[in-house]
Amino acid sequence: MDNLDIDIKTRPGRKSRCILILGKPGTGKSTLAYKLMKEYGRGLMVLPSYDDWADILPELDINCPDSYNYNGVKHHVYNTDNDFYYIYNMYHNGIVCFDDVRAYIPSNFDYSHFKKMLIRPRQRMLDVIIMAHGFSEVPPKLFTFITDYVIMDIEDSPDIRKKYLSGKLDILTKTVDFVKSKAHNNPHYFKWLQL
Amino acid sequence: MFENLVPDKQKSEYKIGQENVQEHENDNSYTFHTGSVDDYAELVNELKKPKQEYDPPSPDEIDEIVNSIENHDKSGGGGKISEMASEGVAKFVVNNIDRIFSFILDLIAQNDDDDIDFSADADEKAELLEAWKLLFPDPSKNLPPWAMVTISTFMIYGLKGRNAWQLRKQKQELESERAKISEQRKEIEDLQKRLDIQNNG
Repeated sequence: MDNLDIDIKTRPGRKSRCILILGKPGTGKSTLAYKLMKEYGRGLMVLPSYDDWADILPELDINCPDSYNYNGVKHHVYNTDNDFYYIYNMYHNGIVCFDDVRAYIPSNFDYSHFKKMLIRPRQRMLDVIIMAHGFSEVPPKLFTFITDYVIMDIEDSPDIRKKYLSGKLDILTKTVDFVKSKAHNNPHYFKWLQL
Repeated sequence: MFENLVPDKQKSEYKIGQENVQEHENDNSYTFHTGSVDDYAELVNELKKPKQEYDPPSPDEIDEIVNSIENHDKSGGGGKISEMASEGVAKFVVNNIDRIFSFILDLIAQNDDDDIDFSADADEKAELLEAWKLLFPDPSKNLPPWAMVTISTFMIYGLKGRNAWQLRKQKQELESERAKISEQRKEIEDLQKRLDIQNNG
């Protein structure tokens, strides 16, 4: 064990989280993510295109260092892969939330700046929230990095990604079924799993 | 009730909230309504726990970051247009590769069954696409449109040739079966006639 390992293990405080929120349109994924960021005190919502959230939240000037000094929640509409580079390097201590990842995260993100956000979030004190409509819309390799699942009502099943969910498939399948049964009465129902 | 869904040996590893409790919360900017208030409260508490402390990047580091990206952009990398061009060519290549390989695999397996398909599924194609995109980062080095048109026309209609050939073969077999049947019918009629003559005679 070298000094670096000791430093990571003995450094006080919790580790960064990577939360996957799954739910079909209208279940309240973005609202939940917004609420979590607001509670935390500092958040950035990355949107695939201009939508209502872009009207509600102030915009981050992605390549302006001063724009990153704020409290509250800002938004950024995805433009190029370089956006991830800017955010990773200039956004410190906060929650960064990626809405509808299928629109801009490549299925193989090995060569995307996005990967760094997943591999080394701790050094930037970042928590990452990733949102998608269902398991099939999440790039398979991303499941390796997920620490928490928030399951809302979804159309598909975890079975579609069973290759990448070994050991978690059973509890995820049961949770999806359970949430589905509750969603008849409450479309915003969700379950949080730390796996 | 929900806790029962978790296998015993895994119970300690999973953190699952309480049963359904309705929450209606209003503030000035939005309305939020969740069915799992305890899950929400626990998640918020978890996120609010202090994180491991790390220093933010220094102003010098930030300058370096901004400059490195600006230089990269000036050299034509990372732009949306080049990404779109790369994606177009990569899609073209992936689709044609898929057609060729599924055709070859059909031939190897001597597969005539339409239900058995050797084509890549959407996820596999997406993975191939990402890899091929990296080979076409510069739009000026992409395939010329005439080459793409020629190749795709050949690939689409050329590979349908196998189906046409199979259809032709099946029709010929059907025709020869029909001829055999009509010959046999004729023989039966002749034999019937002879039998009738014998019986009457």
